[in-house]
Amino acid sequence: MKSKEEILKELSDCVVDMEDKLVCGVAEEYIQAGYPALDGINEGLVDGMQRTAELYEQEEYFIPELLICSDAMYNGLDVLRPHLLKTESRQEKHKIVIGVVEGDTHDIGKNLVRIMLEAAGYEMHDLGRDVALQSFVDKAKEINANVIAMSTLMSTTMPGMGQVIEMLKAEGIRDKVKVIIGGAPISPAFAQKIGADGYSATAVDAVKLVDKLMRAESEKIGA
Amino acid sequence: MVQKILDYKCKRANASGFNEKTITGLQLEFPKSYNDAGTMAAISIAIKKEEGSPVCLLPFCHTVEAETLGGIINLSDGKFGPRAATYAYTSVEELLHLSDIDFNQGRIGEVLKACQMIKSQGETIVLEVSGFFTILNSLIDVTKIFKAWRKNVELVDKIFSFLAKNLYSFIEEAKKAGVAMVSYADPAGSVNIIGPKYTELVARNFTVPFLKKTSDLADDNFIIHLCPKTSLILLSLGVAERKTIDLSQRINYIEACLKAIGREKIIGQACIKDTQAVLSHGKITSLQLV
Repeated sequence: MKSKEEILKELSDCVVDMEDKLVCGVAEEYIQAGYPALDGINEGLVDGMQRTAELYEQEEYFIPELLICSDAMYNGLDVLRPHLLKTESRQEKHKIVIGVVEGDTHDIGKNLVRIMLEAAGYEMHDLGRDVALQSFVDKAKEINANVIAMSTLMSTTMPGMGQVIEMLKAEGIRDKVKVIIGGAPISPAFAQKIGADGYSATAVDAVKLVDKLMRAESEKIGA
Repeated sequence: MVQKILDYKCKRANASGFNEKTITGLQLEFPKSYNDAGTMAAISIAIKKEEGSPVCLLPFCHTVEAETLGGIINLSDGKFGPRAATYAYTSVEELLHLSDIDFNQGRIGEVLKACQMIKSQGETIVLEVSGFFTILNSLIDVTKIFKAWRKNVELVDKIFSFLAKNLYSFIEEAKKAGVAMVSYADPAGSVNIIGPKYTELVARNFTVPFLKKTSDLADDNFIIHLCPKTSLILLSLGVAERKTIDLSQRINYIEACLKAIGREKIIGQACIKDTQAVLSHGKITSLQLV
């Protein structure tokens, strides 16, 4: 029988090597061997996605490769998740509402950010593309979101991001939710201008940004 | 070793729809402004005059080709421009069953009719044609294309060949309708989106053969213009070379393009939407496919 470490490495490699079919068999083998599902997710599949992100940062991988790797991760998750202990699956996570703002249908970047944040342990609520501005606010209220992440590739739809922030203020929940933005025409200066809490140029940086914002928030609550 | 493929930074490609001034000033009605030949022609001529441009541009969005291929398009209220409402196809295999475009039908037929109307008023027309990924992006989740490419290269080859064949026919029809310049752009296929591997694959296997065939349509009345993103990809890969044409005068970029008609087959160093761009040195660059 293979050791736990061996199968974890295989799970991780399946993600990095884009083995979206093979990963299911490896995940089954891992469960049948009696190893805990949570470790399989974190030390196998998520580890693979983090290695993929490193390859992306090194420009070895690009968006197509990342998307296919993420398919392998999700296929593996489909096998492992039903085996999580009830307490494990109920663990409280920071909640993020994500979407492409109204008027724009370019969602590759948004999908990447969702995948990376999910791999980093955040609970993602993906509203999709061409999302009505009010929907960001409504969903954030409904799930008590910690973060709203908005993206757009088009300069004509950028103002919608600022409108969402104004809507959050009008609803009196601006201080309860962090707002991060990204997309080709977006800049740190624009983020600052509309009063967003942060901007990131890449999906990998988006994770670092949310980690930083959530850490700061925890420290604030702790203090 | 993959060459370093440069990406042209463009803000114009990231804009869509009409601005408020145009909508109210021209009293635009939607979706009529996007799907009626007479209305499109009138708007295009009015915008030309308003901007002081030497040419009329059509269409007003990048979804015409996709819609003709079954794309489900939201023609919207004008402010944001037409866009895919949802993906029309869920599997790559479905794209194999697409029929060749009927240029007498639908919005694409109206666009061609609008070209004829504008031409009959003595105006010069530039038709913007969308490239492979820009069309696919409005039809299907392109992740599925990338996945298919890893596992079934032949399948994706067939789809791209189908698109190339139909785009060629579209450009042929545009020429017949009196278009002076076709501007080809594929912003969804930018190197910063699809990465160098797929950029090179598409350029070598599809864009170059397509452009070689299409550029043969160039004559004393017709020329192909490339979005500088595409130009830069071809130049970076060494599949095209620059040739400088000295016009010996400070000149508007689009006017310079028009002066290249009859002299060159392919040009493309700035955005065709930038109607105010000026070549202060009076030199325009053409592309020679290797």
